[in-house]
Order: sequence, then structure tokens, then C-alpha cells
Amino acid sequence: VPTVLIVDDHPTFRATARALLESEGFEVVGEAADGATALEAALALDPDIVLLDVQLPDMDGFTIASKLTLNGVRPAVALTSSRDRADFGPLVGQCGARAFIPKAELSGAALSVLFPPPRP
Amino acid sequence: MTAVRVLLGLAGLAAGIALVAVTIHSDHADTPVAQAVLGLLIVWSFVGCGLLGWARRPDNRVGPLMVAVGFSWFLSSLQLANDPTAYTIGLLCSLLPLGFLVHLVLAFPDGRLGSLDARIVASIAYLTSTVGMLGAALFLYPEGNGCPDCPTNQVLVTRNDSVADAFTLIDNVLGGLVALATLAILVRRWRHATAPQRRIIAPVLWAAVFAGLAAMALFASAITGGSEVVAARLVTFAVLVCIPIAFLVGLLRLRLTHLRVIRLVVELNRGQAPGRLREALARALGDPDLMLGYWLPESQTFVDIAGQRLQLPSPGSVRASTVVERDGHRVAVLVHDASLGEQRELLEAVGAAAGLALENERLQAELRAKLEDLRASEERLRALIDASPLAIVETDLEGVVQLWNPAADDLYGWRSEEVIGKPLTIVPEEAKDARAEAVRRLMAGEIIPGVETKQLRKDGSRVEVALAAAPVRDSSGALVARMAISADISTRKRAEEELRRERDFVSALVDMAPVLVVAFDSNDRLLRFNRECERLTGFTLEEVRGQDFLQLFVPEDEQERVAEALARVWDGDSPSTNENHWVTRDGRKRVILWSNAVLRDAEGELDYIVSVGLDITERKQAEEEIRASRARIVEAGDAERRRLERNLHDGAQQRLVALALALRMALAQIHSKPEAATEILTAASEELAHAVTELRELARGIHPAVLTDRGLGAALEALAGRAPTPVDLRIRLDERLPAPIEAAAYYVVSESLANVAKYASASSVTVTIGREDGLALVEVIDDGVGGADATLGSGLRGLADRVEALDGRLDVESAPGKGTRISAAIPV
Repeated sequence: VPTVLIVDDHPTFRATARALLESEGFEVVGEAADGATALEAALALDPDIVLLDVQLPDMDGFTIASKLTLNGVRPAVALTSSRDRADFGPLVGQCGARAFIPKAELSGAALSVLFPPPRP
Repeated sequence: MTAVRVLLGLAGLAAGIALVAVTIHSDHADTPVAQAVLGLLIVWSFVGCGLLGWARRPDNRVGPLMVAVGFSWFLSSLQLANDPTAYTIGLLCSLLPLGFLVHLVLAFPDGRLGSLDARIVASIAYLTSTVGMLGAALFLYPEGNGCPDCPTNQVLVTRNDSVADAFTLIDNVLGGLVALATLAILVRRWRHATAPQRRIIAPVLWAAVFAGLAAMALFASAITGGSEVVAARLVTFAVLVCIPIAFLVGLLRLRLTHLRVIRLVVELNRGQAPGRLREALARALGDPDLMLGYWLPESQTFVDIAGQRLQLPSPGSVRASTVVERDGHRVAVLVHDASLGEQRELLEAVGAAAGLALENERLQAELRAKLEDLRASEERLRALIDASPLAIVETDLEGVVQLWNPAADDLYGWRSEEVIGKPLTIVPEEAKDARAEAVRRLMAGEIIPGVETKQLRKDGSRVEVALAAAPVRDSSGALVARMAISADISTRKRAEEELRRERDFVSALVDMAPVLVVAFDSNDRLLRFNRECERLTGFTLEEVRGQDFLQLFVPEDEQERVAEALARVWDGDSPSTNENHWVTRDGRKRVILWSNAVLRDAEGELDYIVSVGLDITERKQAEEEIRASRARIVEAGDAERRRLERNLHDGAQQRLVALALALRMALAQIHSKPEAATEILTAASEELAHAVTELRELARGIHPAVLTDRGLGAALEALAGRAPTPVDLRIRLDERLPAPIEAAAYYVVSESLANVAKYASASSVTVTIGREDGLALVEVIDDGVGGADATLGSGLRGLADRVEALDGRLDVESAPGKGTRISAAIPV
């Protein structure tokens, strides 16, 4: 079962996303409300997937994605935002994230694209 | 000399007696008695008259020549002697009297031969009478040549009758020619002689003419050898006697002129009518053209009786002048015929005789000359007065006009014939006292050098004049009149007044104008510094005059730039402007905008720069403020949009996203887990209600719809209704305000109420809206803690910008513990 870390500062979204993903067979191993917590949790929990909100109080999602994907293939980072992908331009492609999922379109199927991760 | 003449006189007497003795006893004389008598007369008359003339005129050769003629005649008479030696001497000297006679006649009366032809004729006469006669004598054998009784020729070299005859012929011909030439010269002299000259030479001349004619006849008869030679000789001798007689007559005439002098003296003593003196002197001197000149010691000139200057004849002309002196002083000059110089005694006698009369006439002439001068001087003065551009008026002591020149006609409008002899009419009523004072000073002998006053014209108008006046005195020094000279200075006065007014105007302008005015020279030394400059800088003109204004006022880092700008102004970039700082006495820096212009003097030389400056410090600050305010308004708009985006994103959007996910989950579980789906949908419904509320709040924050639809009153009531603190709302508006002002007023109230709710801890708020004097007034007063600061809170700053953008004013009073009063006034 793929493990997921949800990173978002809105508790409503975290709760809704956990309920949605668990109902679709993912194991949500943790939640983080800001960038620093997210980096610690990713190191500790080693999730398969990090669902990462772009706008966070301390640092933005692109920075966190870069740091998470700096030295290896794990985890797969999926950026999410209530904004459109086009609002961020090339940033999404350059930060190491594997996918961008608009918040309203979040679903297990959308995350399944990233899992299983490509075998080396 | 006198002894010589006495001896000669005695010799002459002896010679005469000897001549008679020789002639009477001659055995070869044709007519011994007649020849003896005539010879005696000739010798005695010539020697006697000659000695007389010699004594009178020792420097004149006429006397000695006559004496020579007399003695030579005696010698020539010795040819009648019976003794051979005496005969021979007589023979040799027989023609000698001819030479002396011709010389005498030609040299009469002044003793000099003068002209060249006279000298030639005299020379030929001497040659003939000496060499010619000697030539004949050497060969003459008288005994065998018509004179059997003659004694032996002692100098006979050899008897040669033809040579002797030839010499005799030559001598006779030459003698005749000499006589003829002498006649011609005498006739010519007579023709050229002036009346006084003729009077002098007439007797001698005519005697000589007759003698000449007789001599010619004698020589002619000698040549022909006829018997008439005896008669011719006697006639010639007789005529020759006339010459000294004529000379005596001349002397007698001189005596007669002395008689004339005596008559003159008598005439003068009888008293003379003025001017008749000349006629008397002319008569006395026998010169009708005589002119008299009288000596004027002052001008060192001679003048005639009319006082006119007399030109003296130059030396060598036909007129000559003789100065008459009296007691060693020059009195007069006689301008007379040059020949009267021969009669110096006469001139001197006449001059001496007339001295007193001449002195009298001289005084008269002097007086006339002075009168002439005076008349000329008066004429010049008259011309000056008539031509003067200054009005000249003379009044007598009673104030009656005596003199009134053409310039006075022009100045006063009165014509001279209207005012002369009448009291003065040009003193206006208001100047009467001043005139009385001036007259008093004049009468005291003072001169009034120049006063400016008003005078009255004929037409009643006043004329401004510069007036100088002086008392007029007669020769005794008594005051007889007053003279005033006036110049019209109305034009000058007006121009001066105009200039003064213009200067006052400019000065007032320069000092009153709320601009800085400075003037400085090419060395940047201050010349002018107006009140505004004093006010701005805190320096006075006295403190800065002559100082370098660059050093004094311009900050060091700007001095070079300003100096360059001024150099361009001097170079002709005028007028021009520049902007720089001035530092005031208390160290404030002010921004001044200067306009500079070069003012040049009449010669076009650079003179000074005038700069007019405007203190634009406040304007600059205001511009800066406006720029900042604009930036803040833009920034406030940006911030507002950011807030809206954030609110939408964080609020309604998140809720809607969650709602979407919840709906999808409910949909997925609606059949498998209906309870769970129901739970999800219930939560979703609540979430949707929150989202709607949030969107409504948000929309109201963007712009309250009620303000647009229902106006400020309704909007503020809604606002007050939502506020947590009780609001006392007082709206005093008859009609709606323009939309921008309504909006500004709304936000002032809403922001203030928000601040009250956040910070004031107030128990009540009073909101007042009104309109007064063209201003919309908004006031929000709370009873809270106060301490708000318009410069700190970005909310209040934003409000101020919004109000000021409408030319309004926002004031905040918020002393700690005294509540807060926020008021806005916006022009409607």
C-alpha cells in the first residue's frame, strides 16, 4: 500500500484529503502544516508520496520539493494547489515534483499515476 | 667845425677880392668889369650861402658843395690872370665849377645823389671838368689860338691845335649833355615831387633849370665859336648867381614856416573847435593830408579823433610819422608827408606848439574811444540779453519793469511792450511773501544765486522756474534796479518728479514683492538685497552689501555650478533661470528658483545682474508629498487586492475545494456506506453556508452595495448596525454628495469604527456627517483610550491619502486617555 505524507496549512483540506485518499486505498502516514515540519516528517516517515501544497506559511512548495528530491528518487512529490498550474509557469517542472494536481481534482486515480514508482 | 667854417668864410672873402683884382687887371678878359662883378657875386654868394647851410645842416653835403662851387669858381677865374702860373691853374680848373654845380643841383636838397642816373651824370661832369680839361690843357697854345694876349700855358706838352680843339669840343659837348641830362633829371624830380617837396626844391630847382639852359647855350656857343659866347657866359654867370639866392629864398621860406608855427600857436591859444586842430596843423605844416593820432596808454595804440584805431605808415612809404611827446609822455603822432622829415625843426616846433592842444584832443579821443568801447560793450550786452534763452527782467526800485527780453516773452506770455514801464505781473499770490523777502535781500545788496519758485504767466498758469537775481548799481554804487534771470524748469521738474515716482514705485515693488530680488556686480558683490531677502536669510542689506553672495548664501557644493550659470548670464544668456539652495543665517536650506538678467549701462558695458528668486522649498515639499501620496494610494490599492486574493484563497476557495472533495467522497460512498455519505453531505452543507457568508463579507469589503444604491446615510446605518460598539449616528445632509466624496466619507467612518473596535476599548462612538461652507465634514469621536497616530497606522495614512486626493484634509486628535477624534473636510 503506497504511503502518503500530506503537507498543507489548511486543516480542512488535510482532513478531507486524508479521508479521500484512505477511502481509495492509500495509507496516509503523516500530515504537516508547514515546510519545516514537512521536511522533518518526510525524513522520519519516508513516504512513497508527498502531497505538497504550493503555498505554505514558512516556505513555498517548490523549495520543499527541491529539497525532498535532491538526492534520490524517493519520495515522489505531487504538488497541489487551489490555483491553476498555469499560474506558476515553469516552476512546477523545475522543482523535481512528479505531478501537479489541482486541489479540486484530487483523487486516488490522480495519485496512482505516481505509484508504483518506476523500478530502477 | 665852426672854426673851419670861419676860416673858409674869411678865405671866401679874400678869394672874392682876389678874383676882382685878377679880373680887373686881366689883359685878356672880354668884359673885365662885368666878369669881376658877377665872379665876385658868385664866389661870395656860393661860399656865404654854403657856409650858412653847412652850419644849419652839418650832416648835409649841400653846404660844403656850395662852398666848393664858390672856391672852384675863384680857381677857374684865375685863367684871366696875367701871371702864367695863375693862368695855367685857372686853365686847368676852368671847368671845375661844372662838376661841383652838377653834383650840388642833383644832390639838392638832402645832399645825396640818390638815383643811378644822377650818379652817372655827376661822374661824367667831374670827369669832363678834370680829365677832359687836363687833356685839352696839355695841348692848348692859347697865344696862337684866338687869345694872343694870354700868358704861356705852363703845362703845354706840345702845341697841337687839332688835339686841343678836339678835347675842347669833347668837353663842350659833354658839358652841354651833362647840362641837358641834369635838366631832365630835375624835371622828372619835379613831376614826382609831393606838394611839400616841391615847395622846398622849387627855388633852387628853377634857378638850376635856368642855369642849365644858360650853360647849354654857353657850351653850344663855345662849340660854334661865335661871338655870342661872351654874352652867353655873362648870362650863365648871372643865372648862376640865382642858385645861392634861391637857396637863401629857401631859408627864408623856412623862416616863413616858423612864422606859420607862430601863427599856429596864436590860433591854438585862441581856442579851437574840436577836430579843427588837424586843419590848423595841416596848414602849419603845409600838408593837407596830415593825419593826427592820439595815444591811448591803456591799449598802447594811436586812435584818430573819432576814437578809431590809427594805422601808422611803414618805413619807406610816402607817409611818415612823427611822435609828439609832452613832459616825457607820448601824446600824439603826426602822420605826414615823408619829405617833412627834412624839416624836423618845423615838425618839432609844430608838435611842441600843439602839444597842449594835442593833449586835450588826446583826452577827448581817449574819452571817445572809451565811449566807443562802452557802446560796443553795451551792444554786445544787448545782443546777449536778446539772444539769451533765459528770461531776463529788470525792474526799478518801485518794481516797474525796465527791461524784458524775448525769452521773457516766451516764458511768461507777456510781450515786452505790454509790461515795460508797468509793475511786475509775474509774481503769483502764493509767492508774494517769498518775493518780498527776496526783494529785501536784494535791497540789502545781496545776490540771490538761485532759487526754484513758481511764477505767473499771462494766461494765469504757473510756471516752475529757477531764478537768480542781483541788485543793479549805478557808478556811485547806489542801488538803482533789480535784475532777475529765470529758466523754465517745468519740464525738468516733471521729469524729476516722474523719475522719483518711478523710483519709489520700483523700490516699493522690489521691497513689497514676495520674491527675492538681488543685484550683484561681476565680482558677485551684492548691490541690492530686498526685504524678502532680509526676511528669508535673516541678514540685513547693511550686513551683506558689497559681500560675495556666493560665499555667503550658496552651499559650498553648489557654488561652482552657480558660478558657471552666472558666467553664462554675463556672456549674454540673459534672461535665464537656475535653481539652487540658499543657506539662511540660522542654517536652514531653502530651494530658490532664480531668474537672472544682465542690466547694462548707457555705454553697453556690463553693469550688474539682477536676479529675482522664488522660494520654492514648500512647493518642492508639496510635490514630494504628492508623489509619496500617489505611491501610497497605488500601494494601498495593491495591498487591498492582495488582501482580497488572500481572503478568497484562504476562505471561500478552500471551503469550496473541500466541498468538491467531500461531494466526490459522498458520491463514492452513497450506496456502499449511506450513513457515512449522509454525514459527509451534512458537513458539506455547513461548509457551503460558511463559504456563502465569507463571500458576502468579502463583497461588502470591496464596495458596499448599499452605498451605491441607497446613499451614505443608509450605508452608515448598516455599518453602525454591524459595529460591536454602540454608534450615535448624526447625518445632516439634504442631498446626496458626489460619489467619490460619499465613498471617502464611508471609508473614513468604516475604518474609524474598525479601529475603535480593534484598539479603542470605547464605550460609545459618535459619527457626524454634515455639509458646511462648501465642505463635506465627517467626524468620528470615541471615548476610548486614544493614542492613535495618523503617521503610524497604515489605515489612517491610507484614509488621509484618500481624502487628500480629493483636496480634502484629515485630522486626527488622539491624546492618550482622551479618546480619539477623527475628522475629515472635503471640498464639494
